[in-house]
Amino acid sequence: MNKSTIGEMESFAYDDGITRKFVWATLVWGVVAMLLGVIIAFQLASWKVNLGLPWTTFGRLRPLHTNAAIFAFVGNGMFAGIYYSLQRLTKARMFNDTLSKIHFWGWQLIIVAAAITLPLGMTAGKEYAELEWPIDIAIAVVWVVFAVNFFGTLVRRREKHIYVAIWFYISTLITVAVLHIVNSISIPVSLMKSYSVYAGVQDALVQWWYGHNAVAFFLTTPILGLMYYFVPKAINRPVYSYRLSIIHFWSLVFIYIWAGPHHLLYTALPEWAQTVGMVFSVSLWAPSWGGMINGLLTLRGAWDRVRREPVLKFLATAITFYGMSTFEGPLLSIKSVNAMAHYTDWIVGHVHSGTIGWNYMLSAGMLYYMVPKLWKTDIYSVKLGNLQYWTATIGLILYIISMWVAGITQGSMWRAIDQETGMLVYPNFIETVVRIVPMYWVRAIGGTLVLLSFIIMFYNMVKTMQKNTSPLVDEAHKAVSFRAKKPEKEKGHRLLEGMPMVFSVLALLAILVGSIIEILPALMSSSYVKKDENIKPYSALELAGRDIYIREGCYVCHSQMIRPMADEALRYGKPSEAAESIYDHPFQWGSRRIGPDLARVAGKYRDIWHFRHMMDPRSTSPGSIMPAYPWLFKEKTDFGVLKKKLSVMNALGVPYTDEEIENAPNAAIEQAKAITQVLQESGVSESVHNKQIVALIAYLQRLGNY
Amino acid sequence: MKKEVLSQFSMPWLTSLACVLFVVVFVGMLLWTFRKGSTKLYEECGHIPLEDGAEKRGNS
Repeated sequence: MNKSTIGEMESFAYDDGITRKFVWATLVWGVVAMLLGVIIAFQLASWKVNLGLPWTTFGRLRPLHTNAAIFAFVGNGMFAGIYYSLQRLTKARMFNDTLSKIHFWGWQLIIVAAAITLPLGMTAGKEYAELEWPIDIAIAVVWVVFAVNFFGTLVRRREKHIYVAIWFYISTLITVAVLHIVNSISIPVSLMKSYSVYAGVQDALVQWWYGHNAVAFFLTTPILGLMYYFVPKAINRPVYSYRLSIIHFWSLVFIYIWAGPHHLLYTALPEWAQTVGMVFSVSLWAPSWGGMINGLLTLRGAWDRVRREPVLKFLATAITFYGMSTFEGPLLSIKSVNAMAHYTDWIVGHVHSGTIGWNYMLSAGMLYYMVPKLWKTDIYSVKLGNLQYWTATIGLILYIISMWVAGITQGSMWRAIDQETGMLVYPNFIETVVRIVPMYWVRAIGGTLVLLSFIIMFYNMVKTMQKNTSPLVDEAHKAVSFRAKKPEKEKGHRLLEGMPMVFSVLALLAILVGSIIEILPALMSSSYVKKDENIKPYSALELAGRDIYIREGCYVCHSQMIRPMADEALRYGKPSEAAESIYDHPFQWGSRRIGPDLARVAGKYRDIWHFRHMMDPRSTSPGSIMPAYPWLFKEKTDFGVLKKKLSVMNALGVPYTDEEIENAPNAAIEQAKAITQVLQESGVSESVHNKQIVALIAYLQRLGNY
Repeated sequence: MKKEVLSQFSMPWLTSLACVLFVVVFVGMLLWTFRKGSTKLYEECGHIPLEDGAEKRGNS
């Protein structure tokens, strides 16, 4: 049938080829991300798994695991679901096939670039935003390509109304762009090294505004959109309450953006910002559960099918875990709970109940629905689907419970103060580590089960694809052209959702209100962070050491932020103050204490202690799970680049004089020689002044020493 | 730290503004979803995913 033979009827075909590509990428990167997770889980159980190589140590692989899980696995899964559902919800083919391909290949290239640069230690040192500036630019470009393709499709749609799933996609498109660009602004030193324009408390607030909303707008809102499409689809009935889905959308989008500061409770972040973060995090519970209830009630009366069909089984479990982790999140944001849980494995367990319970489960349900449709066949094995389901669920439960136990145990041990003596019950940090190592084994086993379950799905999906031997041709569909229709008198909702651009602007406003109110005071932090005359910028050698600290991902296991609590004061010293990190581009407050806090480590140990500790942590701290860093004793410090580094810092507002910048390499060499002499007096025979270990010692002996 | 920051934090209106904005937006949005004629519209919208490209709904 030709175009326009029946009035305004048009014939078109969906581009399912691009969806199939994204499905493949989801499967492949899913295995990679989970394999990396299993490797680093075993590294915590046994330090030997670090293999003694720079590019396989925990500090470099953990960022790769998080990036792979979030942006490669969930990212590709999200794109697969969006390309599949957007076309069907708008009754239109993607706007431009070339843009679709650029989006696909561009995204895969970015992932490959991440997989190469992160193990090499090229990192910006900000959690979930570790990638260096050229890759950041590539991400922004590919994201814009995706946005053009997406909105182009909306403009050409043949369906008047914009279904609520698309609203969720739009909020992701807009917010991720804003978050990524604002958080990534930095000044390059070289092709693969840059310094964040923000410093200290300001950088902390921007980073966690980004970090939390990466969870919100990358791991949650688009996946909710997928839920609102695939759950009704799989069960063949509309969502329980469309009105509730709209309330869910607006309240979630408006509230989520405020919640970031809950990552910084009890830190040197202004108290009022912490309270705002906590209140909004607790408020988030309401819209989240509204969405969960809406999803679960859509399945009402069909629970027998949930028992039989893998698609519904995974979807129902995903929604349940969405409910669980959005209950746990607000709970952890309550300051008194957070006081105990922060820096412990409880947070790690919480994150994985979200990523495995919600993201993995929903992706699996979506793939079980989509793959047979895309390859025009039936699922290869329902039995394997069930096996996968139970393997994943048991693995996940082992994971979450072991992390609860580890987190609460360690949190309790840290804060235990003897009532008679007023001293710490466990003054040696290592005691609190050794105690939870058994839980690390349980977690690693749980993680292995999750990986195995994913491999089962991989096999099941490949077998399903192979069942189809005929060529895959995109089917032709017919629908009435939207634009040819007579305009109706419309108002209110119709007007709003009929205009994607107006809607997008409103969604942008909703997220900007929270962002601006929260970030504005931080950007003006210079007016209220009291300057401390004693706090001087890092010396050239200390700066070189700091970059090694960042390169090795030390911040992944060590915080630099002492909270104002009795036990922390006893263990680490005076609580950290905002003024102390004003020259820290980027800040290194950290989020987890797998090892102790380092904010005031200066002077606590002699130089030779650090020297031996980095060579073999167990020689100075028996029972330590820290990897050894033998390469720091071979690789040379690049003194030449220090001039450039100081001048970039100077451009960012760190008060180095022209003379200091000019003299940076010589000053660094002099300081290194002085440290080497101290080391030699302690029995180090070889000449090490130009080795990286010396720069690192200089930095560590500076932390908290003003 | 708390005293130090609060003594120099000169924007108390900001938090009040945030609170008022939030309540107004939320209540407004709630009322808006219950406006006249929305039930029929939402009923219609809810069915969009089930159509899958076919031209079932004649006149809409």
